[in-house]
Parts: sequence; structure tokens; C-alpha cells
Amino acid sequence: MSSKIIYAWVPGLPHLLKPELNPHYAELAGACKVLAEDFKRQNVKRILYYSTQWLSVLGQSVQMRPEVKGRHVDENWYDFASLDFNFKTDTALAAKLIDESRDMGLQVRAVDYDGFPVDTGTIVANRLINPDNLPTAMYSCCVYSDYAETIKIGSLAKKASETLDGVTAVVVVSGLSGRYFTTEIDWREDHIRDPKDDEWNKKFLAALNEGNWSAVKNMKADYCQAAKVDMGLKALAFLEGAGACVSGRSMKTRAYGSVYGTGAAVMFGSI
Amino acid sequence: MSTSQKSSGKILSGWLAPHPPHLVYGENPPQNEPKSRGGWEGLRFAYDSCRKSMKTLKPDVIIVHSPHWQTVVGHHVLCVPKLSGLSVDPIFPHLFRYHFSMEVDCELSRVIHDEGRALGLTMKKMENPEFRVDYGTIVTLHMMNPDWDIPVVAISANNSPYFYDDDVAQEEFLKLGTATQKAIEKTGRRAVLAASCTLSHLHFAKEPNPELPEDMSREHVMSQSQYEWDMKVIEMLRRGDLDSYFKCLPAFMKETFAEVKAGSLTWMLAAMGVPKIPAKFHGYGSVIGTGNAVMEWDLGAGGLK
Repeated sequence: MSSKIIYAWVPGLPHLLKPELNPHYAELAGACKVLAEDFKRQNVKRILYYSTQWLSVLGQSVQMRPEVKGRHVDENWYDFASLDFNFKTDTALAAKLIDESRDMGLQVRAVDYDGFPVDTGTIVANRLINPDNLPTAMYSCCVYSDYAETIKIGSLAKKASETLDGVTAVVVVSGLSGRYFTTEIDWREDHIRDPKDDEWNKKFLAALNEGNWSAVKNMKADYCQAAKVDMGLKALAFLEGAGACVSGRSMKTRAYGSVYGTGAAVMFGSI
Repeated sequence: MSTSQKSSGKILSGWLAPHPPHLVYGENPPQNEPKSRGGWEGLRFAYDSCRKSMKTLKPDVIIVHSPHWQTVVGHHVLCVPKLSGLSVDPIFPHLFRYHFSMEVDCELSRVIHDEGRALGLTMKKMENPEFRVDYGTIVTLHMMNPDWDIPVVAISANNSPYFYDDDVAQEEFLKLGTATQKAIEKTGRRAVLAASCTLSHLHFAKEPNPELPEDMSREHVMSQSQYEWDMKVIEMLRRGDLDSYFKCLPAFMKETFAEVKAGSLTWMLAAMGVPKIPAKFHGYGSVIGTGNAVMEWDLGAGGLK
């Protein structure tokens, strides 16, 4: 048996499913599709999602329903985001995630309910990067797990993935700077709301591109505070725990742009 | 009823009507799939007087402002005549999987939308018939009127105070209240308002007893200081001392992460014209440590015009 993990970071806003609205959306969506081709080339067997839009409050949650399907209407973007979904859960990976979480002393809940509202981010990501409907697993983003605990969660995800044969893609679904517009805008004029956020995002992405993990570590707190980064960069913490942020590895930017004023990027871990 | 019946509209009462899904779970109504051995009776029974009041007043509409329909761009109102479906709480799916069916007063929704815009607010009508109504809206409405025989309007909570800063959008909630009041008056509705929020909102980070969520031996206030804050605020509201309430609001939000930050209570008080009348206290209880009170502003037989 041999196992391997590859890594990616994708945005999860439904605007990416409307590439005709803005060139940024088209570029980001296009990069996600290239990612899907990379997955195919790498013979990916399953995708493990960690989305900062699937929040849990009392401990951790892991999707355990073998087939998760339905239609999700986004609570903000309901006028263009009625999203059909049909996930086939890799129940072996989900069970391992639960076991490893318990071994780590975390309170964890297996989610297996008809009508459970899968978050917009995971659905959008899955539509773009998983055209062959590979099996998936989903781990929630616990509001009360801090950065350090989220690294541990990433490490248990790595451990769980490594017990399975074949390639697992660990995909975090998250944004960068989080300063969205609070009024209606013309989609065509969407841009990073604050130029300083744009600078910060680019600085952060440059460090990830170089695999300069000490620079990333040094800028993390300031970046989060200055640019109101999505969920305090828990997505990075998860990747770090899962083994993406080690010497010799990097996260290469495939596309960068704005979605309703926020920063968004598609990144692929170097192999 | 149509907008031609001008000037007869009035707000009959306003309710602080918290929405922990545990309350529906504890009651075991047929609409909710999970079943319990009870729990949180102190709060659940506090809603009895509200239910009686709905039967007596027979309002045309209940309007609820819910912190769990969070919108990033402005304030949204449900605007589909009939909404139904299964609402599974993403946070507490083991407690709340509720089959809802509600009639929405779309005419009133549209006028609230228009009045809000006239006051400079960003407003939006939610017209997607497949929309899954949030559990905050459903729990509050169920606890107030489990028969669901009164049309409703639901208003989203703009999440700018959470994302940017506590005081951001508080002015907007006041304007939203004014817009709601004007819309009620214009459409001639006899309305009851509901602010669907807890008071103190710091809570446990783990479920105290995952095997038995309704284990009341494990339920308690999060902290003494949080409890004291809640009592201080309840006392002010009971006295009708809204000046003191608004004065201490920033500190209350900061120190207890009070859910009133979402704007529900500010909206409701503004809609009622910031009435300095004693609010009636019906009950208080903790749910996973949060502080919840059921309180009523009875605007009198004549209502507030």
C-alpha cells in the first residue's frame, strides 16, 4: 500500500460559477479547472475538504453520510446561487478522521442527516475541481479551535489520509483578505476593496510561492489583523498540520483576484 | 389587507424571543425529527404567555429579525408567499431538523424594503422559493406561535457589527426599525415584533453531555459575571430605562459577546419608537451557557401608532 497527499487552496464564493460576470471570477474558476486536470494527472483517489464556511461551535464535525445530495440556496447570493450537490463520501477516511480526532482528545460529531446544509464553499469548490465526482471527506472549521489546535487537526487529517491507499488531495476552501463591499456593486467593477489588502495578499502569496515559511510565520498575525483575513488563516493552519508547509515545499499561486472586495486565490502545493 | 387601508397599522407588542434550537428540541413538536426527554423548561414555559397573547391579540403578522440569517450586503426580507422545507441546523443537526411551512406577508415585506431604501439603507427582497429559512427565525416563530397560523415577515441581520466593529451598523438598525414601523402603518397591519436573540452569548466550547444533550444537570450560566450582566440589562428593560440600556450596550456587547449586537433588539425598540415603558419579564434561562430572556413590551390595547 502506498499513500500520498497533495495540497490545494481554493476560494469558495459562488461568483466563481458565474465567470461571465467578471474577468477575476473567470480566471479563478479557470484555475480551479486546471487544478482538476492536475488531480487527474496525479491519480487523486479522494478529496478531503476543510472549508472555513462549514462552521462548528461545540467541537468538531465530520461528514459521515455516504451520499450527500440536495440543492443548497446560499443565504446571501440566493438570486444566482441555487446549487445542486451530490457528494459521495469516502466513509473510510471519514471514520479515520473521527477516530484520530478522538485519539487527540477532541470532541467530534459524525454528521449523517438528510437535508444537512453543506456549505456554499465546499459545493462551489467541488463543482470546479471534482468533475469526476471522486469520493470526498469534509472536516468542519470549529470557531473555538485556535490556530494551534487547527494545526493539530491538520496533522490528524494527514495521519488519517496516510492510512489509505492512493493519493488524497487535501483542499482548503477559504478566502484571503476579507473586507467585502457592504453595498451593491457593479460586478464588472469588482476589485480588492482596500489597496492595502491587495498589497498584503500579494506579500502573503509571494512568501507561499517561495515556500518561505518563516516569512509566512512572521507576517501571519499582522496580515490577519490588517486585512481581516478569512477565519484568521485557519486554512493555512490546517495545511501546515497536514504537511504542506515544510521546507522544500511551496504553495504556487495559479490565480489571484477579487470576489466582492475580498481577496481570493487558487493555489496548488508543489509536488 | 391592502395598502389602501392606510393609517390603521399599529404595533401591538414586541418580544425579546431567543432562538436556541434546544427549546424546540426540548418541546418535541411533530415538525422536529429529533426527540428529547425535555429540558430547558424555564425558558420554554416562559413562552406560554406569548402563545396566549398571540391567540388573544390575533395579529395580522409577526415580524422577526434573526441573527442567524446573516447577510453581508444590507438587510434582506423574505418575499416568497409560501416557504416550506426541511431546515437542518448546521451547528446542532442532532437537535434541530424541522419541517417548516410558513406564509409570508409579501406585501408588507415589499413595503419594508421600499421604506428602508427611502431611508438610505441597502435592502434586498429574497424571492427564491427554494430558500432554506434559518433556524433562528424558525425557532422564534415556533416558540411564539406553534400553530403557524399567522403570516410572518423575516428580516436578516446584516453582519457588519461582527465583521467590522461593534458599533458599525447600529445606526442602520435604528433606521431599519423606523422603516418597519412606517411600513406597518402604511399597510395597515396589526403587527407583533420579535427580536430573536439571546443576551449574553459566551458559551461552552464542548457539548456537556453528548449522549444526552438535555441533561439539565450539566446546564448552567457560563459565568457569574455574564449572569450579572444579563440581570443588569433585564433590570433596565423592566424599568423601561432605555437610556441606560443604550448607554451600556457597547460594554455589554464587548464583555459578554451579547447577541443583541446583531441588531435585533435595537431594530425592535426603534420600530416601537424606543418606548420607555416597563418590559414584562416572563423568564430567563441558560442554554449551553448563554443567557436568554423572554420579555414583552405590551404597547396597550390601542397599540403604538
